[in-house]
Amino acid sequence: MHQLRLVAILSIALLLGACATPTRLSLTPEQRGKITELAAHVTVVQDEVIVAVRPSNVSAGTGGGLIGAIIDSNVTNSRVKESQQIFGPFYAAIEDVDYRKEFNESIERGLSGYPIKVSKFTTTPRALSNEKLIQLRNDLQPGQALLVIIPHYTLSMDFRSFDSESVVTIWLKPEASDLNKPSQRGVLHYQSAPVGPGGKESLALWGAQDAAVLRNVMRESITETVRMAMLDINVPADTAAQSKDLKSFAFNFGDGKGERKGQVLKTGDGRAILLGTDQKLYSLPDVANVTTTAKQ
Amino acid sequence: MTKITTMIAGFTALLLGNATVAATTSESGDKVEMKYDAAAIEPGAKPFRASNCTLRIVPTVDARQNKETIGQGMRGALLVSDVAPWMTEGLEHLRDFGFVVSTASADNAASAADGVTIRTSVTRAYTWQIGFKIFSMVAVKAEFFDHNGVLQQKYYRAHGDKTNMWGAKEEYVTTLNYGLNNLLPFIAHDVQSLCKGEKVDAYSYAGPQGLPQ
Repeated sequence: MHQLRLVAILSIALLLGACATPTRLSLTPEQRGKITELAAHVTVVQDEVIVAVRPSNVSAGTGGGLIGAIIDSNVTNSRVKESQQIFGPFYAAIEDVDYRKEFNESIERGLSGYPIKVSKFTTTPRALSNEKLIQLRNDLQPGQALLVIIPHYTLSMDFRSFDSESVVTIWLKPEASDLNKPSQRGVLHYQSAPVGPGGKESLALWGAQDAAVLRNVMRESITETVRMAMLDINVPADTAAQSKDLKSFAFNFGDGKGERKGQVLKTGDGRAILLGTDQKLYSLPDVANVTTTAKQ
Repeated sequence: MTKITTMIAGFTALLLGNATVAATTSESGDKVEMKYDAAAIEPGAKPFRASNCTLRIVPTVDARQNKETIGQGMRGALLVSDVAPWMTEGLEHLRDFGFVVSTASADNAASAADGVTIRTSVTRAYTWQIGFKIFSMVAVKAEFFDHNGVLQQKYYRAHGDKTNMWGAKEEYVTTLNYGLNNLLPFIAHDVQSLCKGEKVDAYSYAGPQGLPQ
């Protein structure tokens, strides 16, 4: 009993510590000036796309407790069952899709257009261990930095949008920076243009012609992630979305509704990259382009 | 009290796991043993009596794109080696449906005088987490043979679920066992049909709700 209490207390302490990490950290101008080359390490835990089912959160509203937790568990379960029933047949169209392979190919192609050279790529399903991270940082040559990308990709609950959210960090040699903290950290969120009206009809469009739309969007998400990562390196730490510059963009939270506000950093190819009020970077469809893409 | 404390610890650890991923801080992998468990079945579910047809099982081949992990737990990657023996052992439990089960080699899949032979490859076996729940996905390609050769090729998917009570790595394997055990009635149903000389659907998706009534 005593040990369990201890575990619980330690867990909470650790959780609070982890929460203290800010969403965005930026390189200092001095650090930025010294980086001429990146070694990219990509951790893709997922084997394939999953549905972004919203977990039930009744227990938070009732002040926690076991009963709330049981209700949450059952409601979440029921939501997943329901979405998997619709999603089930779709797997046949994506059996050979390999996101890790796509990421490797796309990131190499995408990064080749930027002035910073990328000397090495590693894509792995394994989370990065502390020991491995230190080893990779110690192996860095002068002018090199370690770029770590951890993407998470989903189809929205209404099956209309493909989202990927990547945590991107840059690490320098241990002696040149904080031992336990990355020199740069950003959360980069890509959302596709909505496809179809939702449900089975959207899935039919995603899966048509050997899932051509899904494969294209997947590649676009990787290209846009690279674009945001490179852009983020040059966005100073003190940049914050100013209220006078805020622009709203449609954003699908899973029910086809919603918007994101932010400061637009770049536009082009029918998309906009914005620094959201939540300090995440977003790549979203430009409103004018949404209708056209949805008809694909 | 123990339950509540454990639940708090589990829940906090779960949140911590997500937060840790987000912070890309240190995580080390956890080697997990893929142990088949016939008891990981939905409440009330039990094998139906299919038939006493002879079923020969060729050992499963591990054909996953990712042969290293089955997902991510609290302490990082859930590392596994070959999952084929786990799948093969699960398939051998088709005997619980009444089949006379024996093993066959890949070379002589079509040599039996009677019954059906099944040759499988597992293409996906992974877990993911939403809130308190762990979910699993198992994908299998199957070929059925009789003495004349290939009867039919078939593609199966199954998912399972389990509440994450302890945040233990074994819970992820248990969730995969739920997925595999949800799949078995669908395979049994197909073998029963094939033994009678009937065709089966080219694709089936199995969930915790079991066979369609």
